[in-house]
Amino acid sequence: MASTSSSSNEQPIDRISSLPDALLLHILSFLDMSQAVQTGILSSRWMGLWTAIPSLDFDQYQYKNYKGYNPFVEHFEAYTGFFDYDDFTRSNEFDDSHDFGFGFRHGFGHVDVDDGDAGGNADDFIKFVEHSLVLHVAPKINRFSLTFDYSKKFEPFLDGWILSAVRRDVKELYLEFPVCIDHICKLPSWLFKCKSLVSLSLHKCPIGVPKSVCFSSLLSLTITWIRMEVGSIPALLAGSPLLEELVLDKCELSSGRLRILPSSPSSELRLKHLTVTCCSNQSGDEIGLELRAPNLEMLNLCGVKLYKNSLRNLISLREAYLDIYCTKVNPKFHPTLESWLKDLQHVRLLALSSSCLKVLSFMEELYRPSYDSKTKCLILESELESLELRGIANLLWRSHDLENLIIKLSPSLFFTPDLRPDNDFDNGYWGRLKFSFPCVERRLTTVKISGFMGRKFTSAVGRKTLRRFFMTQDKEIELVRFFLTKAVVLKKMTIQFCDKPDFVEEEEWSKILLLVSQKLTSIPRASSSAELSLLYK
Amino acid sequence: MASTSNSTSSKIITLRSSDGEVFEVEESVALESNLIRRMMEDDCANNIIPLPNVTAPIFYLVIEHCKKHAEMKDNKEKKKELRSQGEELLKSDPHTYSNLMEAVNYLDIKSLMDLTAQWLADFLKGKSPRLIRELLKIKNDFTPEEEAEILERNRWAFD
Repeated sequence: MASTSSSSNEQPIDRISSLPDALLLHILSFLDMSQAVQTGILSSRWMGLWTAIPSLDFDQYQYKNYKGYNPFVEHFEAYTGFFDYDDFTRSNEFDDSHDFGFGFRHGFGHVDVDDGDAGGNADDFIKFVEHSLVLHVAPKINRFSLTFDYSKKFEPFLDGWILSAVRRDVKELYLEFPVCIDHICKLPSWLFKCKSLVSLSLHKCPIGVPKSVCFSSLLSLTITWIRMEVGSIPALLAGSPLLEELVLDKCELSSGRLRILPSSPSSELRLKHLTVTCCSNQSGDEIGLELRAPNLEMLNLCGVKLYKNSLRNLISLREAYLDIYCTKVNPKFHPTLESWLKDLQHVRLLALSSSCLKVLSFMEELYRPSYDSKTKCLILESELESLELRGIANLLWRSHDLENLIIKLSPSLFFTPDLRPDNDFDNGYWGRLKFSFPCVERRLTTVKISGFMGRKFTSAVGRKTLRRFFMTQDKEIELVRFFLTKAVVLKKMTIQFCDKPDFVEEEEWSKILLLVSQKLTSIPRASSSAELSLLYK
Repeated sequence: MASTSNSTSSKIITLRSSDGEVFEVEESVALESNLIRRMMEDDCANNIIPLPNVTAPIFYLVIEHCKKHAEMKDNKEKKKELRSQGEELLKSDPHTYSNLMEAVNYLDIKSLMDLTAQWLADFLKGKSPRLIRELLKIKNDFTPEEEAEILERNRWAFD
């Protein structure tokens, strides 16, 4: 095999500058504009190159050393990665961009700031965007992205900026005002007649949807942290005949009821992916959802009230992600959740949050609903609390066709009343079950457990008792034991350990991992071809 | 011979690089390349597919990254890992980077186009023009006067 660097040891040759324009422009389009413009002084080859970039990303937070106040950054950082259902993304069957809801409610995202200049560089940023747009000459713009803290200063410019993209047939538009004083700005109504838009993403910018919308090419619409007036969603749906993907996250709907319905009884929505998470009505309560979308393939709901028949007739649905607020963890909610699951019996992939499992725990393990679940892949997010174990068993019992199981262990984030304290009920739970699960004996081929041992780091653990603490966390090991000893056709069991917690020394952590791994590998396996793989970070 | 096939039962495609080396690649990997896909559709399927614009060492890199990319699809960790590998390659061997980028462009592999572009974009981020020139061996062909003028005229961007 020849060496990978074939020449150029003798003399420094700049091959990068000799790449064709199209390639360099493709590279520059991955940069924020302030960075892209700065490449112009590298050499004459690079000078002015940026003026032809097909995708423009103006971001005040990337611009110079802007220190804007973003009260939500912490939240998002704290919760990202919590619900990343990317484990079974084979081919493009499931996209990893589906974020499951966060399962918590938030205040609304408008912050009162002085009309002044929160970060101190609004004027510079405005000047920068203005200058760039004047010099930018690309005849078409593929993607246009604007992120800044809105204040009155921006008012005279915003329309012009958006217009410069719309005039050049922008395909993707992204607008975000991390901080915005409510009611002072409104997007221009002509934006809602932009025929070139394929993807529109609006975050925290008050929109004011006009009665008539004409997005004749729009495929994907994402709206987060925005107050939606009555009639906005129907107008958007009616004006976007090709829409395939709709995401509504943390929006406030003044009607309190979300209707995803065709505009006329004779027509039918093309919608394939729908995400409605953590939206509320004006008083902060969960919204109701009416849904009629026969082409829907993926549904992701968190904190949504469903009306009777809401989920019926979703004949194309393949994946469903369900989360409910922890306030619903109540036996009274069980019939409702059961009826949802009944309507979702045909989906191939079903993901349930910890609070759903808790509700299912109110029934016996052997509770059998009146339908046959066709689910092949189950994704469960669990803290392995007492209240959830029976829910997991209950689901395994009813899922006859189950082939893939993913359990995401997560530390408890919210206070949920754990009716039984961590006690004998948990320890040995799986060993005590006296019946066998049809799917575990016949179908289950892969099991993945992630966040292993990461479950209860939030609880105060003294350094001295650390090792003992981990060694007595048998609930997790016992879960693994259950699957390894019972699953006859198991092919692969993957265990992904959690990150090393900050308060544990490196050396101590490796000892703990070694001990736990030894325990896991010594478990006898019911399936001779079962492969156990342990992943450490 | 550089064999990159695994022991799986999928179909194997044979390709020949510009310097005559022969590669055996799983069909699923080879079809990441729109160029190869088109050539196969045009009935070259039973023969060795020639790649006159790609040398063996570069083609080897391309295949490696195609495989890695397929793996990373379902793994955020790997995604990060792969994204961070560009920094090293660009620092140690910008020449190979350019060849890789061109090969990926020629083979028309969308996923790797974005990955390699992201590498350079990440690499440029937060570095001074002087450092970028030095690392990428970009010759500053402006006279001091020209450079001063450019800086002056572009104060809106560089202040």
